[in-house]
Amino acid sequence: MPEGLPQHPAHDGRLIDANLHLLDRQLLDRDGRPILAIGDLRIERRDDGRHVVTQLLLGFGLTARFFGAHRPVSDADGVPWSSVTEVGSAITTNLARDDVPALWVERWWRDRVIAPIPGGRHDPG
Amino acid sequence: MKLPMAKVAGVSLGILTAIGGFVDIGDLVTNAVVGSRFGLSLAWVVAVSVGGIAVFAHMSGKVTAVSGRATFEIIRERLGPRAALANLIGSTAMTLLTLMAEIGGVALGLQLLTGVMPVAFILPVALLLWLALWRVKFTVLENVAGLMGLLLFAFLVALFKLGPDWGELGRQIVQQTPATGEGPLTYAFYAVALFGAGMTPYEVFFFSSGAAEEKWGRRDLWLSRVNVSLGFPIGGMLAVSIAACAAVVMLPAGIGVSSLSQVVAPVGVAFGVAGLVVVLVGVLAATSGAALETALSCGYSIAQYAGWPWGKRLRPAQAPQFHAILLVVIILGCLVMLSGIDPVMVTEFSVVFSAVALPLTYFPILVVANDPQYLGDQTNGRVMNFFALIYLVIVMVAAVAAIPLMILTRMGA
Repeated sequence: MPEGLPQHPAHDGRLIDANLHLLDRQLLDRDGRPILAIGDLRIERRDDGRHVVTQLLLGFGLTARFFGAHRPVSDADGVPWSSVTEVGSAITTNLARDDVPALWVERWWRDRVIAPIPGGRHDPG
Repeated sequence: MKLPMAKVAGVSLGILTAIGGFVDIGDLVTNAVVGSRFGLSLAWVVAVSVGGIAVFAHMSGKVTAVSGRATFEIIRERLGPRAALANLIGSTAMTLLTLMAEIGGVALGLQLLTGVMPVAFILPVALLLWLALWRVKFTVLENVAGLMGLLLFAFLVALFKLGPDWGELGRQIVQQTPATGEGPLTYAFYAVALFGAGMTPYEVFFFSSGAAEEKWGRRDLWLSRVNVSLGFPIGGMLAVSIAACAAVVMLPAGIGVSSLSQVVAPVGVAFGVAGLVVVLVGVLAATSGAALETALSCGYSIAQYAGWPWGKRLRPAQAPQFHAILLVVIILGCLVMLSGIDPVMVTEFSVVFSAVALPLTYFPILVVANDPQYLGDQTNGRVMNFFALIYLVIVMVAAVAAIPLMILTRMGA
C-alpha cells in the first residue's frame, strides 16, 4: 500500500473496481444461466456519507451511456445488489429467471416467436 | 491414459473450425486461384496463419475452459460497450457475408453434382441448414461436417496421382516471389487475403463457444491443445494441396482459375468422375459446415455481447433471442443469394474486410489470457506471449495494408 493514500474503511474486505469488475460483466441467475450483461450501476449516498452500489442495471441505458448521459433512474430495470452471491469473472445472483423483470424481452421472444415453432421446447435430438 | 470416446470425437471441433478458416468456399477458390497464378510461392502464408490461428484459438479456448466466459463477453468487458459494439457490427457483417457465400457455395457444389442451376438449390439448402441448427445436436453437426470435410484430402491424393515435378513445387515454395507476369502488389494482396481468410475472427468465436457447447472444463485443456494442433494444420494442409493441384494442372497451361469447377478439375484429371464425386461431396460438407459455423458465430457473438443465453446445448425456448438470430441470418443469407450474386466474389470481399477487423478481436483475447482473475494459474507463459505478440504485429500490418492493396490491385485482378 503506497504511503499517503486514504485508508479504505473495509480492512478485511476485497477491493472491487466498479468499472473493471462490475460494468459489462455477465450476470448469471441461480442456475448459472446468463441473465444479461450489466449495463450500468445505481449508486446511492447513505446517511453516513458513504456511497454504495444498490442496483445492477440491465441492458438498460446503454445507448445513453454511449453519449455520456444517463436515463432517469425511475424507469431503470435492474436487480438489487443484495441478490449478488459471487463476484468473479461473471456476477452470480440467487435470482430465479422469472423474478427478473428485465427479462420480459426474452420471455416475449420465447412465447411469441421461438416456442410456437415445432420443436422449440425440446432438447435438440 | 484411458481416453473417453466422447472426448476423442471432440477433436472434430478443431477440424470444423479449421475448415471454415482454410477450405470454405472462399478459400477453395482463392487457394486454387493462387495456385494457378503463383504456384506454391504463397504457401508460406498458409503456414503463418495456421500458427497464428492455433495460438489465438487455443488462448480463447483456454479462457472458456477455465473461466466459462466466451470470447465476446470478454471483448465487451475489455474494450467497453462502445468499441465492442463497433467490433461486433464489423465482425458480424463479415461473418454474415461469409455465411451468404457458403449458402451459395453449397448450391454451386450441388450444381456441379446434378447439373441443375444453383439458384434452384438456395431455398432447400437454407431450409436444411436452419433445420440442422434448430434440431440437431452440436456434436452431431460437428462430427458429420468436420469428418466428411476430410474427403477434401482427395486433393492431396490427387496431387500424388498426378505425379508432379516435386523439385519444381519445392522451388516455388522457397522462391516466394511473384510469378512472371504478376506484380508485387498483386502478390501482396493475395498474401493478405490468404492470411485474413486463415485467421478470420469467427473461427475464434466458434472455437471458444464450441468449447462451451461441449462443456469443456479445466481438465479439458489438453483437448484444446490437441484440437488446435491437429485441426488447423489439417486445414492448412488441405489448403496447400488445393493450391498445389492448381499449380500442377493449371499453371503450366496458363489457365487462371475463376470458378469452382476449375478448382476441382485437377481431381477429375487424376481420378475421373469417381474422384470428382468424392471431392464434391467433400466440398459440400466443407461449405455446409462453414455455413453452420458462420451462422452459429453470428448468434454466439451477438448473444454474448448482449448477455443473452446462447448455445445449442439449451432448448430453443431457453435461448430464444439466440435462435431468433440464427433464423434471421439464414433468411438474410437465403434472400441475398437468391438474387444470383456470385458467392466467390462475396467471400473475397469478406476475407479482405475481416483482415481489417482482426486486431480488435485478437487484442482483448491476449489481454485476458494474461489475467489471473480469469485463468488462475493457467495464464499465458512467456513463449505463448512471445508468439502472440509477434502475431499481433503481423495482424496489424495486414489490417492496415488490406484495403489499400484491394484498391490498388482492383481485388487482385
